[in-house]
Formats: sequence, C-alpha cells, structure tokens
Amino acid sequence: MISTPSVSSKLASRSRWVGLGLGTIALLICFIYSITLGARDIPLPIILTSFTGFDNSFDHLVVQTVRLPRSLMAMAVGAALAVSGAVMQGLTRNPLAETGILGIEAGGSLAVVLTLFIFGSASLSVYAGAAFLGATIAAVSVYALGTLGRGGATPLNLTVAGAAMTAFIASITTSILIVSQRTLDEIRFWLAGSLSGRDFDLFLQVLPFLLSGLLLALLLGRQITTMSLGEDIAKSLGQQTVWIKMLAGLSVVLLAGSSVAIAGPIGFVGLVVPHMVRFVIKTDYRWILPYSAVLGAILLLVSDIAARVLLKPQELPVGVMTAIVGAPVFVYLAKTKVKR
Amino acid sequence: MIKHTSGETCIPAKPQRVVTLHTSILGHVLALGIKPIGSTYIQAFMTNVAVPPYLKPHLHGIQIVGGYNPNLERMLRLKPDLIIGYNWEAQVYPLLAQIAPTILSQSHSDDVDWQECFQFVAQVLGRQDAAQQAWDRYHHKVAKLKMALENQYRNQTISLISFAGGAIFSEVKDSFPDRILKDVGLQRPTAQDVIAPANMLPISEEELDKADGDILFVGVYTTADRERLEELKQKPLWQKLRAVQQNQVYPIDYMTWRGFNLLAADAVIDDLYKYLVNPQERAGQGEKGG
Repeated sequence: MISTPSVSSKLASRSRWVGLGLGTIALLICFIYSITLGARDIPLPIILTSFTGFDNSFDHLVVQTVRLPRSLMAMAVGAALAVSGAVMQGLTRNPLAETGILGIEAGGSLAVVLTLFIFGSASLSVYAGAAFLGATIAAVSVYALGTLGRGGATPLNLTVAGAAMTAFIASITTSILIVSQRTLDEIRFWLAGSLSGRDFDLFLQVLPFLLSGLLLALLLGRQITTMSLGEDIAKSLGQQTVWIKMLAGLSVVLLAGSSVAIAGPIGFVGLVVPHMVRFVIKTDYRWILPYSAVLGAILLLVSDIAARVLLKPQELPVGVMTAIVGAPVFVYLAKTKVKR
Repeated sequence: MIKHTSGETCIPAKPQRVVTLHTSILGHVLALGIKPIGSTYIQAFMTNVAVPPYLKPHLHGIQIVGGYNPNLERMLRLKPDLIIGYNWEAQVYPLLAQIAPTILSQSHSDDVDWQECFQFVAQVLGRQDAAQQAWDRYHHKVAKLKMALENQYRNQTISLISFAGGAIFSEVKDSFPDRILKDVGLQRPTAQDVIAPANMLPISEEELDKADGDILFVGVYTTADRERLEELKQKPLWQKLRAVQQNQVYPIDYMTWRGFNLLAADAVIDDLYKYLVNPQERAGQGEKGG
C-alpha cells in the first residue's frame, strides 16, 4: 500500500480526534468520580436523581450546590491554565513559560489584594476586573523587561524577568498583608489557590471571559504553530506577528485573570500540561491547545480530588497539590530544555 | 511546695502579684477573688479577635504581657511573685521560672476538665474556700435558669457550632458549653452527643444537617470565619436547617463559649437567659411561628 502524505496526515488527524475523544471520556469519568466524593456518603442513584428529578433534599443540595460547582470550577480553571501555558510556551518559544512563572498570576493576586486593602470587601465583578487588570500589567511589564535584556525576549530573559517580577510583586503583596491583618485573614486561603467554598456566582460572572479566552486561543492555533518556529520564520511566512502577539496576549490575560479571580493563583498546571501533551503531539498547536485544555481540566480535577481525600476531613488547598506535582517537572525542564 | 507538670515549685503563701498565661486561668484566678497583675491571651495577636466581653469589666489594672506567647521582657518588668500557666508553655518554663515561681497546669487540650484545673489553681493560691463559694454561685445560677426555663425545651435539642480557622466544628459531648447545657437540663442533638478529641468535631459543609437542632448557637473566631458564615448563610444548604427555617439561630461569642472558666460560664448562662427564657425578646429578631 502506498501511503501518500495526504493519506498519512488524514490518518494522523483521525487518531488525534480519537485521542481527544478518549481524553474527553477520561475527563468525564474524573468529573463523575469527583461528584461522588465528599464528606457525606451519597449513593450514586441519589446523585443521578439530583440531576433528573431534583427534590430539594439535603443530599441533592449537596450534589448540586457544593460538589457540582466545585468540579465545574476545577475543570474550567484547569483548562484555562493549561491553554494559557501552551499559548505562552508557543509564542515565546520558552519551555518554562507559564502564567505562574512569568508573574502574571502574581500580578492578578496583587491587584485583588490591593482592591481588598483599599476598598474593604469589594463586589465580585470588581475582584474579577482587578484580576484582569493586574494580570495585563504584569504580562506587559514582564515582556518589556525581558526584551530589554541582551538578545531580546529569549526564554532565559523572560524567565528571569518573570522571576524578578514575581519576587517584586510578592513582596508588595506581603507588605500589604503585614500592614493589614484583616486583609490577610480574608485572603490567606485564597492566596494558596483553592477551590473549596468558592463563590459560584463569581464563577458564572467570570466564565464568559474564560470561554472567550479559550476560544481565542484555539482559533490562533495555526498562527501560534508558525510563531513557535521563530518570529523571523513567521514573518517570512507572511504572518502579522504583532497582531498575533497582541491577540495571543489577550487570550492569556483573559485565561489567567479569570482563573486567578475564580481560584487564586494555582501554579504549575500551565507548565506541566503542555509538556505532557507534546509527548504525543510534537509541534502542531491546533492540536496542542485542545489537548492541553482537556488534560489541564483532568489534572486540576484529580489534584482537587487528592486535596480533598488525602487528609480527610481536613482539606489541602489544591494549589499545594499542583505544586507538589509541578515543581519537580520545572526543575527537570530547566535542566534539560532551556536554551540560553 | 506544689507539684505540677514541670516539676515541684516552692511558692509564696499569699501571692500578691500573679501573672496568668491564659484567659481561662485569668478567669479562674478572678473567680477566686484575686486580681492578677498581668496575663497573656487577652488580646490574641490576631488583632481581629476581640477581647471576650465577659473579661472586659475585670481588665482594669491587668497588664497584657503577650499574645499567645508570653512576652518575657514585659513580665520581668512587672516583677510577679507567681506565674500560673498551662503545660504548653513547658518549653519556656526554665525562663519563666527565673522570673518568678511558675506553676504549669494540665489543660483542656490534655482532655483534663477545666473544673480540675480550677481546683488546682485554687489549691495553688490556697483559696479552696473561695472555689467552693464560686461553685455555689454557679450552681445557684444554674438552678435559677432551670426554673426559668421550666419545661419548655424538654423535647428540643440545642446545637452548637463554631467557625474557627477556616473549618466548621460541632461542640460535642463534655465540651465547656456542653457541660453547662447539660447542667441546665437541655438536650443536645444525637450527632453532637459524641466523644471527639478536644471535644470539637470538625464537620464538612456537606454534613451540616448533622449539626441541626431546634435551636442553633453559632460562634465565630476571626473575621475570616465570620465571612465564611455569612457566605454559608446565603447557600441553600444552610436554609435547609430546621433551626434556620424556624428562625432559631443565635450568635454567640466564641471566646466566651469556649472560656473554660466560671466567669465565662456565668456569661454563657446569661446568653441562655437572653435567648431561651424570654421568647418575647426574641420576637424582636423576627421569630416566626412563636
């Protein structure tokens, strides 16, 4: 049998669709499992009837108002973080790019803490707005700072700029928290990144931003693939690199800002997931991005399950769980993949 | 010579300048008719935990010598002649003992009843008579409350939950407030009439219904815990509670209802008067169904 390039790419494309389908099924299984888990023993049939025939019983309320929102938030935030990480890694050709490492989440956090410090308790939309604004400012500053270094915005320059910016922002956040004990109490759990008791109304308010960030990123798949070959190549292929950078940056800020607003800073999901995806899909961001979304959702959902189960009935913040998984991967990548 | 958890210590027969290292011991000493010159824990260093109201009238002339940890420098300046604390200060005992004779008692954290600790403090101060009088006053007050309550709560359960450090706890069997409620003859919900370490049972939001009762007393520790409660109040799960539906939820002062001393017990009984004896007073809070 003679396999022409078009046939083999069709085959590859088909197997990629199958892979994505399998990933989605795995996500669905994790999702159902996470809904069955909790302090209260609720038999599966009752969980199911809470969807089909909600009767306002305590069991049904627990499923619908405690577990379902939490699982949905984990999936949405996980997908957002992973996709934003993938976009950044492709765009900056930096294997360590991630909203946490490049200071974008820290920027969003500082803005939320500042808002709380200045206005006391603010409304939900103000929180979200602050997170977006902080994330944008941090992203622009880190990129500008990274460009200043010798050789322009190389992976190393960007990572160093991100680390410097994170340290700088974190020191401001800390000093605000020291000055205002009240702010600390309100924010402490949030700063550890957590999905417990998160406000579902806030989630619903932020969701449109998160989804548009996701959509924008997925639409840019082809362009990001080209950009990941290097800016010069992209330009020579006729790409409007400035526009692509701006749009991709917008999607990163939308994704990072909304996930920070929903769950606080959760590290390493955006770093680890795209690398895991690239074991299967090497370079094509049209596939890397949706795979990252599914895998990111799975990873955060599983981390949240672990955070709930490991120390029952106490809970760990899920940000702690992702850090335990992510930190070793970071060290490995820094040693092997970063080009100077 | 007094034997205690960190050894044996020779103490003055009539100590004049007592420093206490916890509010419950401060309460014990005050209940025995002695005014300490200093204490820790009064204003915990988390500034948003208020001084418990029951201690406020007694605080004039009592210096704050630290938050959770004793401030040794300030204590040294006060020149105490007796320091009384719990054995969780055992690490700094050698330093404390250099400042003044120091007695460290077992505590409610060791599952030792606060009543025992009170007796111990009375023995240390040589005020066993005063302790007996304090107990008489307590029992008298309990008996009066019992009379006032008549039998109207015979078939009702009193639930106690507290929001502390980001978690929700049921105050279960043999906790400080549980003993008082039992003394008064009130019933506890079955799920709260159980043994748990330190008499506090952490409960999940998902199991709130187990903390349900006909009447629900709720305490909060920090402002963050208060916000957690306010958030929970908006949720449908909270609205499912019987006590909520019957409008029988009352706020209590966390530090008072976990006071572990007779002064605090006095204040708890006052709260019970306020919320249980005169249902008319409660009408002001929007009670429905009477």
